[in-house]
Amino acid sequence: MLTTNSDLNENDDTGFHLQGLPESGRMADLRSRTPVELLASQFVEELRRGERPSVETYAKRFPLHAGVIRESFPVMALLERARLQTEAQAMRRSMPKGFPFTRLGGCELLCELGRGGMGVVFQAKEIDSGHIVAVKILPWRVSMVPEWQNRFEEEARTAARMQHRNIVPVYRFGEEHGYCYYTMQFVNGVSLDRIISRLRHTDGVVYGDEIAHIQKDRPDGYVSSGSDSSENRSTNGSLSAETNRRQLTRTSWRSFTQIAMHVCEALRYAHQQRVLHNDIKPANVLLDCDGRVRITDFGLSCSVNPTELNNEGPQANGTLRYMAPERLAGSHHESSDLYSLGLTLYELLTLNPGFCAGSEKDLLQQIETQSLPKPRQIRADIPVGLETIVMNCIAAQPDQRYQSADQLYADLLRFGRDQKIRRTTSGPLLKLWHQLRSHTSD
Amino acid sequence: MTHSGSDDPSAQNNALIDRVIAGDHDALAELFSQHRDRLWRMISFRLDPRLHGRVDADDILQEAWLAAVQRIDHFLSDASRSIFVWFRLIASQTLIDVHRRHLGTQKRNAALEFSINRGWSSDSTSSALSFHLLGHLTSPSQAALREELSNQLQQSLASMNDIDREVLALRHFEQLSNKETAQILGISDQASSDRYMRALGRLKNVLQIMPEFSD
Repeated sequence: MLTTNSDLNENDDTGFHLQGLPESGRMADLRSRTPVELLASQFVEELRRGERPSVETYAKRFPLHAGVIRESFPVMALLERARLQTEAQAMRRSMPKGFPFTRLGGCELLCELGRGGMGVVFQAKEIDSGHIVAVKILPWRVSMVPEWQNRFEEEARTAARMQHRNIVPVYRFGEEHGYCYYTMQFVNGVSLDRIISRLRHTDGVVYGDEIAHIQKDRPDGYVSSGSDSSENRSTNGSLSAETNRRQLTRTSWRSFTQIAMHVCEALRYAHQQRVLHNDIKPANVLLDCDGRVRITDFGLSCSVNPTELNNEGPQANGTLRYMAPERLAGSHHESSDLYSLGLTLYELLTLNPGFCAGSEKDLLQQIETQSLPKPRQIRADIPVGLETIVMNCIAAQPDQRYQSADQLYADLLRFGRDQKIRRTTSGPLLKLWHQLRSHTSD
Repeated sequence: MTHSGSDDPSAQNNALIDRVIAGDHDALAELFSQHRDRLWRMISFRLDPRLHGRVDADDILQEAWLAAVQRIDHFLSDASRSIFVWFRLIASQTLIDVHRRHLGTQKRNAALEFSINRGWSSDSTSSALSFHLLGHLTSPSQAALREELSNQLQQSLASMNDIDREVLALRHFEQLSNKETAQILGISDQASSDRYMRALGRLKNVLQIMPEFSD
């Protein structure tokens, strides 16, 4: 029975407890609680289990309480959402430094490679086979983060489904010592952000040289896997034809286009599988010693809530920087991935970080108002076609960008053939014309 | 019930309890570990944002553990109704001490503060709640709105009955059951149940002012 506001006293104790009488806890519980509050409790439990209870369903099933249900249950859902966010923030603030084990998932952990997305990545050695692999671990005990366990497993499951030459394959996933993990192929190579950084600071980079360079500052325990033959080449001063192929300079436009095309191919494949990557950025684009491009870290599922990101400090910008504006409002399209690829390419071409701000608030401001200089304003030698492609990717409105990875791929091909690239933000007639063209010509 | 291990009357726990009463620290540690996650949650939620980066929940949990060891002799008398509530009380007091140490007592209004048995001041629950509720607005236009609403929301929450506000915090942010909430607030199960529903109703009125709230 619901009482009105004024009825209850500050303290509703009758002043008297029955001690020592055995009582079935459950019955006593049910007897003393308001019926609608019992329903509310049940609703919240379903929410916490990851089921999606419907307020309307409850209202219809319990018409007597329908009014209160419709009023209060959404409030509970909101409180639960707020709780998840605060927990996420608290967890990120307290990222553990190490782990209380050295073996996991049949692997011996060798050294930490990096942290990002929802976990920590280690280089590891499979105990049975001796193969070198990478292991990503959700660094909190699953008992602390039961909702996150589901998401992590979703991530692993999704990534394991991806079978494409430009996507890092996932082998296995599971839980051990109370921690979730998955194992994947170890890529002996370097990520695009390292390359960008090197290009920015030196006149150019010999690709093999870069691998050797980072070999030097590898963490303790790092094991070089098989194909490090490029290491030998780097000590050779003269440029052989082979080394030439692997050299990247600030003006390697064709190579940059190639890289973008490979990422695009991976996205085409993923999108066909109805999977969005949601976190394309230079750090997630790996180049191995053979120059092959692979994307990794399908770390955020489709239903990612951007507010779960670390809210403190510029270091949080890592992922936020490349995020399409509509994603901040909670929606995501295929073109959101293309946006992120566009910004990645922007950075590769201009050697400029794109959106960059001292605080998250300023960063969000920049992303929303789209105040980025055009690539050729930063470097006049960037080919016009590439600039156009980048601008087509990073248009503020999703409907003014490439609508599919196919379209982007087509334009990258055209650029490779020295054909003219057009802006996607043209008038409606011209748009229709282009649509017809792209339908028939590819 | 989603929580596990709390006041589990199993034979195993009874044996542990006997040992704790006899002064066994290891047994106390085992009981503590059963509730560790929930205590961590409580501390994380209640930690004043100004202390982020200076103090973390693990540190405070550690201090709370040491405080519990100090009080092991009081276990029999104080933890008889609920072991979890006893640990929580100690953790809560530790948290208050940490806040005082770092932030002084400027914000405290003694009249608003719960008695030490209740554990927390209405003032800090208000700001904790509004801080978290508004946390989901992140675009810049929303961020500006957030600041404005934060003040309004704080005032509205402040105008709510202390217990109503605490009930929401305990039920949702600490994920406590109706029974545990009742024990912590020192009211009956029935009262706790009623209070919760009423608090939801009042918060709903407060939230009418938030633009996104049309789930």
